[in-house]
Amino acid sequence: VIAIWQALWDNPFTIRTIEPRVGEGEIMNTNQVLAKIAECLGVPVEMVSVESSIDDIVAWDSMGTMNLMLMLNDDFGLRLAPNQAARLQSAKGILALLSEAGKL
Amino acid sequence: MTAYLLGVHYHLPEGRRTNADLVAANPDWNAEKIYLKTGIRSRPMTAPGETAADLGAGAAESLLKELRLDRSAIDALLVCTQSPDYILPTTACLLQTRLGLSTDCGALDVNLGCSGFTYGLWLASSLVRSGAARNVLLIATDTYSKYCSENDLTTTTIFADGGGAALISGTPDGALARLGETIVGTDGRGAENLIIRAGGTRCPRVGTGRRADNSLSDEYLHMNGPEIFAFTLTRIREAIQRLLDRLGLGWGDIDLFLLHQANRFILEQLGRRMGIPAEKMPIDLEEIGNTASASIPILMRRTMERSPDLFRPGHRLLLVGFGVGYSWAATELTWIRSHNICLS
Repeated sequence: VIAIWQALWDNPFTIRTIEPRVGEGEIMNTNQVLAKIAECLGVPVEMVSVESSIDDIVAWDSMGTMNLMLMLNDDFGLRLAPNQAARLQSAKGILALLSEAGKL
Repeated sequence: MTAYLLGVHYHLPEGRRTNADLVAANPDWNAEKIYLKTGIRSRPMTAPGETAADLGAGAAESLLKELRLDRSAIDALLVCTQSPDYILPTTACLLQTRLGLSTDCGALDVNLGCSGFTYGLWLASSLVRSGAARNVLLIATDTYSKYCSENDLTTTTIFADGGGAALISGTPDGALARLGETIVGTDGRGAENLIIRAGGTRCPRVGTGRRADNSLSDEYLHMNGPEIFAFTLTRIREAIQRLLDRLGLGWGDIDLFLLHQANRFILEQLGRRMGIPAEKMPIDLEEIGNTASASIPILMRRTMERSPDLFRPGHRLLLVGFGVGYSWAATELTWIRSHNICLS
């Protein structure tokens, strides 16, 4: 225990893992996920449906997609594999990702 | 033998492109939104006919003038650029004669983008440490703006033009810093995510402009921002950790992190996730933008001028370049002396 405290004292900026806000085993419903998508894109929740995609919401641009990536990482603990960002271009893609991860 | 950083300088073109200029060409865009998303208000831009070699020469001239170094003492020239004047000869050959360097000077180009300056430091310090060279002039210069479609929000809002130069030497006399360990990395699986497809031998030039389906021609720079972001968030933290492990240091032992200035969003997320306080990781994008290989020397010099207290003898710095390839490199420096740039 002393060694751990000493290590923390010596390295105050050690990498910290951001804890997922959605706990282990906890699942969300579709509407809750759509609300999170709206929050990431900065648009009213009414604008986002299961059919929404990068083609019909202007704010769903490159930066919006990065925000979605952060949300999946921070809230659900999901880290995308390389070349998987295209799955974040539609609500269906995001819902499928969360379903595969057992979060939906 | 130890390698030292004797000096660093930069040169920017006189031309600028503001967010208002971008909106004038794209009425659907919003200048303030561009700033909020990128952290950039205006970008140094080369004029037609003005090239990366011109910017590199400007940076090197400023550096050599400041150092008052006999040019014949430079025995190696490394030019990092992905914006060469010609397919061949290399830009380094053009700059060797333009800068009045000796014909005994070895000169070569390094074709890397945002990791190029830190890769160049690795190569230069290796040449010095091995005894193959005594004084290496490293130039990192790029004009990515020439590759961006003015209608591509993803690239034209971010990329800018600039040149940087540094001198790496085996002599500690007057040195700014001692060059330490470098770690490098490569993952070619990301090649498609930041690419200009046409113009090489695999795909000849196809004619600029838009295709019939309104997508960009392959002669323009294509960037998959979210994939680049995902790469950055995972790889860069790992790379820095790998370097710290090799050095036997913790994150708190580093006094200053100088990262490639990709865009504000990426840098802020990286800083937050690595737990680095903002004052230890300067961001200088507002009037500079992302100058690719030149971004770290520009950031370093401008931070030295603005915040000299961040560069005190004994301070440890990490320089981290990352991007196209994917390619990344991180170098550790130990600062040796205060440097009053205003008097030089």
